[in-house]
Amino acid sequence: MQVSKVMLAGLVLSAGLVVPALAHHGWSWTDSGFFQIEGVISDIYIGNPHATLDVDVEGTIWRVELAPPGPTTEAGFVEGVAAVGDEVVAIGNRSQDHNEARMKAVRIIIGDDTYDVYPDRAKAI
Amino acid sequence: MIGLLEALEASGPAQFLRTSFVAYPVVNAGHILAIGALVTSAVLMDLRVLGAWRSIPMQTVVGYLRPVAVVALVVAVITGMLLFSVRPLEYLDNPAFRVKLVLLAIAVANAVGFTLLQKALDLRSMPLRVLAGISLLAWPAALLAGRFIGFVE
Repeated sequence: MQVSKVMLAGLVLSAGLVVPALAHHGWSWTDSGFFQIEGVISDIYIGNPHATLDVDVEGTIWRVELAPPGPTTEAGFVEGVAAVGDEVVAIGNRSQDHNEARMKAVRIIIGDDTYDVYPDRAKAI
Repeated sequence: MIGLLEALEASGPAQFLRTSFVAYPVVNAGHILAIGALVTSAVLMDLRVLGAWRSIPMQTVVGYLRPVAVVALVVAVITGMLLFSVRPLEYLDNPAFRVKLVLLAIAVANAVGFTLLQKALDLRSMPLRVLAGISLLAWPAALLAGRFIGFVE
């Protein structure tokens, strides 16, 4: 086997790995317009690698991705400010794949408290 | 099992990693580094057994790279368990994680089988070439499945 063929195979493999990476980080996988859901928190996670909320909207569990834990806690969204069972409004961008109940939040509202986990983007709301 | 995972989730290191700005990416980087060394050394050994780089003796290649692969595997497993401890129940539910564990089990069992058979058979024999072929597929496949953990649920 020639080494050049091995290297070519490696390049092809690594090129294939880059594509799915674009689908999760950043905003390329979301719709551009703002989207809003209201529901009840069924699970809450604040920590590495990504903070997430699971929100029950009339029986459908939405996965709401927040900012990484640093910016999320900086926005005031820390352990204890929300609990399972709380009503929540999440404003942000929905996945382009409308078959999946997934969005990336810019602003979270719990009761009278507003948490802008992406403050720069929240200005446009 | 669930109780054990909940205990892991509540453990000190898991709580520290969950909230640490520095430690989590450092452990994550260690995991990537170890996987890189492991898959590279395994693939190089497999290709040599399958006939690449005939000018270098097979025993030399395996003698140099197997210890690298073993140390890298140990580091990958330790860092992997640390990353897992942050959200054990979530990861266990993740189909890509499950596929990765199965592929990992196949790859490790295959490597152990190769090492045992190697004592009785010549490195150029067909059974060992078949195992090298399985290894050549299993390790990169485990890596690929692992990369998908963040993108499925």
